[in-house]
Amino acid sequence: MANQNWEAVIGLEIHAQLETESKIFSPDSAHFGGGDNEHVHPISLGMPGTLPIPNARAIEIGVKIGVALGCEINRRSIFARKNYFYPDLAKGYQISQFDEPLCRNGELAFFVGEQLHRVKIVRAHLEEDAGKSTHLGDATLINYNRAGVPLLEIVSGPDMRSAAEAAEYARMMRRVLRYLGACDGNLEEGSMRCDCNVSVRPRGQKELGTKVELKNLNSFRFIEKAIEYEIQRQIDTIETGGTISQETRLYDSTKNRTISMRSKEEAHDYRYFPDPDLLPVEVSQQQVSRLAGELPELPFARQRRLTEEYGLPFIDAHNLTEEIELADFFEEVARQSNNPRSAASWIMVELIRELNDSKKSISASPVSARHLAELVRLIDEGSISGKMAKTVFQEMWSSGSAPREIVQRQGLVQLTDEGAIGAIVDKIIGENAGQVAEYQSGKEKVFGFFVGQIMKATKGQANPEIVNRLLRERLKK
Amino acid sequence: MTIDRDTIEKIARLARLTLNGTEIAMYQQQLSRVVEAFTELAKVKTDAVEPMVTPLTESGLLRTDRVEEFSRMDEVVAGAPAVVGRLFKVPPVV
Amino acid sequence: MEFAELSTAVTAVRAKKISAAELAQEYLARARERGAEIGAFISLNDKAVDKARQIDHLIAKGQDPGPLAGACLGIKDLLCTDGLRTTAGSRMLEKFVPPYSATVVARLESAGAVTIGKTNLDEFAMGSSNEQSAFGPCRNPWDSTRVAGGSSGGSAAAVAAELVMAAIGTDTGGSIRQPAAFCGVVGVKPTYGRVSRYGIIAFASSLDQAGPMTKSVRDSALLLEVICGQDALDTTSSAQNVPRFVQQLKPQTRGLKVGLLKEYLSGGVDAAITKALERATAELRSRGAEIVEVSVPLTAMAVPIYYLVATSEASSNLSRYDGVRYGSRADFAEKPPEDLAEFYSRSRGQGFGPEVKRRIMLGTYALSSGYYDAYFRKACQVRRLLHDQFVAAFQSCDVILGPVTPTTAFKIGANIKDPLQMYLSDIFTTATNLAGLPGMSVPAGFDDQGLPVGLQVMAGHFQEQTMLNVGAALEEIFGQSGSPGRG
Repeated sequence: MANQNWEAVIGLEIHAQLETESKIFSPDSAHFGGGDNEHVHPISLGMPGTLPIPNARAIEIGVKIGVALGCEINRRSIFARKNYFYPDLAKGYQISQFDEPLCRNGELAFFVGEQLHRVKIVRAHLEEDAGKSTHLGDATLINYNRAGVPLLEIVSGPDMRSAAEAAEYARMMRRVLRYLGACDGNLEEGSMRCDCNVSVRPRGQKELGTKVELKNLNSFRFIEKAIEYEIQRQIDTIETGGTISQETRLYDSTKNRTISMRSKEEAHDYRYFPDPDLLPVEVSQQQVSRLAGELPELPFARQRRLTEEYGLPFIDAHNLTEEIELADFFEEVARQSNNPRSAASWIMVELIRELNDSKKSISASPVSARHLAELVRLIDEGSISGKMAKTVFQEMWSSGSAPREIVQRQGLVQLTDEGAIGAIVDKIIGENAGQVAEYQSGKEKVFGFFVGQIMKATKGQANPEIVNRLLRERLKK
Repeated sequence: MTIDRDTIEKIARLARLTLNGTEIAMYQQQLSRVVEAFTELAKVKTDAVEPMVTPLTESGLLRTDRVEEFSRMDEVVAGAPAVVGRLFKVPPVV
Repeated sequence: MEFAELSTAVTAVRAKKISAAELAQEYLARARERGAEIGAFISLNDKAVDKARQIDHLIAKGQDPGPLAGACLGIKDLLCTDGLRTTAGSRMLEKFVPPYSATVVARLESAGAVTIGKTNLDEFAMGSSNEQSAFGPCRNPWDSTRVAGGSSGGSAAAVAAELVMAAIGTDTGGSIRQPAAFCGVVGVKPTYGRVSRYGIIAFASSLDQAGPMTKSVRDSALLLEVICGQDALDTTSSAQNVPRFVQQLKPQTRGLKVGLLKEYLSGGVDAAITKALERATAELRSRGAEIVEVSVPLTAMAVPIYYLVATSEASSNLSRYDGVRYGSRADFAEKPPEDLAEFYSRSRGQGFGPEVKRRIMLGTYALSSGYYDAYFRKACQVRRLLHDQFVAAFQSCDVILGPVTPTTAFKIGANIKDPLQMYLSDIFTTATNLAGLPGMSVPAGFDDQGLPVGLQVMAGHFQEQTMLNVGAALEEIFGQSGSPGRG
């Protein structure tokens, strides 16, 4: 925060819903949606006598995320029960991990602006999600479709100092999770949830201030705005003689402020203890090595490589590594066209705009990497002008056709024959003696008139550089 | 070692059990006696002893990630204390 | 139509000497009449005869009806039975009809067994006398003024009174062995992990095991073969191979080392029980067994460890009974709850009986902030030491022989007011659960009031066969206890 006297301290707890078919301890579907209590099973409903059986895939994805974040993987992690009563919690306890989490001591690197930041990952542990309550006026209704969906809770150190930094951390975490295919990172649907712990302290003070937990942040922009608001609120509170109480606050995006959750002041006593229904989760060194070997190049490393290998500007490399498929697409176009900068520009300016407008992902793009590379080559060869290329691109987007085909079909080939262009230049000069005289008397503005006439005569196909050169030469005479 | 009435009431709240005055007095007396009798455990030296959570030493079996939906939810809904459609109903909570 | 043992009845059914349907009708009638007198059952299975007819049908078609064809069983009402009310002896689950069966029940039924009814128990298996059932106590068939024991009292009484051929009980701290001893039947608690816990309403997850309660050791072996073995629905079920218990059953003890636990011989036990133990020791020695004294000093701590571990786990296991998805909810029509906490607390306060509430309170206390280390964690640490001492003891003996209980069946109401006294009566049974060891109760005659006496055989982890063989030897020595009224 831009405040000379105060420093903000921020840590994030990110809950990532793991991309499994079934739930973490039961075989009902883990997918979002479904009818009322459609994806439920006696196990996820906590019915008498039922027992949890861990989903091997959920554990594997958890390990994979841990490895990607450079964590130590616990060879024997322990599921524990977190005991509390709430209607969406079917068993009266949540199966989570406490003393012995799956992953510990990792790190996430990311940029804020062009500044490199590294944030410590304290721990990441597996747990089950709860159901969903819908509050009506006279009743609350419970849907357990989400109960038992596998989550990895990723806890950062209190290492961040600004709202922008926290938002970038969250954005980079989302990138990593999506690169791994571990979590779809959808904040709106809640498949990735960020809780932010925020406190402030006088600059130079070592001890942390009282922290407030912010919830209900379902976009990166809201994370940033909520933290900004909360930092200012805490500073204002303290400066006007108030104190910060340890509490959970919800972000209200319509009013851009945080509001205290009415909490009964009964201190939580979760009575964590190892779940006797579950044995330790064992992860072998071989499993860790195998998963490490299978990791894709991660977004941060890839961004750096794109800058170094292709000479891309920082921001281009950053944007092109948003998704693994986008980065793959770029590299394919760059390789086939042999013009990375132009490839980057076409993707970021034209392609991403179209994709965003039509809400398509890069993998659903009607313009293939091969076709886009061909388009770049056509420009570089001088076969078409940049302006023509935009027309061709529009046609590629709507028809999915190859650019060479479109160029031929529409007769868009650029006129580069100096003899032919020269003949037209001469003809136009001959027909407009008045303007020639004006130009020669020093009114250079008339030059544009000649260019326009020549382009009109060639239906815009004349190579503009040749037109300019020849026109200049011949008007001098 | 006796457990005071406040502690009994606190524990009852934590365990979500409504107890009447007689019950509170009874449990206070009985649990105090039980806990008193159990203090002998403290005499056993357990430095560096790993707590035993389960007698099993094997690694537990895991499940393959495959969906198998439960087909008899209607029966569960029919047996529930209060529902609206297929949703479980509780008093309003905010 | 009298069968002393389940094994002989099954043989007769398989040989078409008698129909399973006839047997089911007969046992159902006994359960309905005599069962009601002693309070052995909570629910009877009105589909029992239909199920038996299917067995007969299979036999008529020449198909294999399974190793338990026509066996009429009582199932402790803690095991879920698909379509048949399962109450756990609690008002909380008074109307609960599960849409699934416990793995144990499913295995028994697919082996041809017929469930006659759901037997009475202490609420959620919490008790040592069956007086804590919300459906009334189960009386001892040998003396109806006395308890049947608990928590599997209904199962023990039903077997003793021959209302079923055999029954399934569960044992968390002695709940199979103690009522078996009180009622003069065989009761086996297998090694932890031998039998799937899926569908068995949990009391204490790290201690609970289901097992057979039968007239003979052979019958127990037969049922064990069916119910033991790993289950994909219980991650704490063991992958250990299940022996052919029946085939290898032999009452041979030559060369066997029988341990006597020093700590279990220090008095405080009824004379009749001590005498039975002495007789057993002498007879086993004369049959070639070597008698050795072993020591597990921490058995003295078994009751405190047990009550801290079991109640802690139970306090969490029973949190799911909140009146939201199934089970009973308090009537809020007259006085709606002020908040969510009251909504839970009233349903739970009304739905649970006094002993269950007492144990939830104790367990919640032992796990709560500030007490966890001193109680729960400490108990788990001493539990490991106790476990290790048992493992060491079994280095110098094959089985341990001892009492099951300090007394024979006590009077109804005698211990009800003093929970601590009741807890202390579990002195000889809780240690096996804590260590995860198998243990069994074998009938060993009667005391001078005509009440059954039982002896306990314990063995090392997964050594049920050795234990059953010693049980068979004791059965030869003492004979089966028969049935009250028939002798």
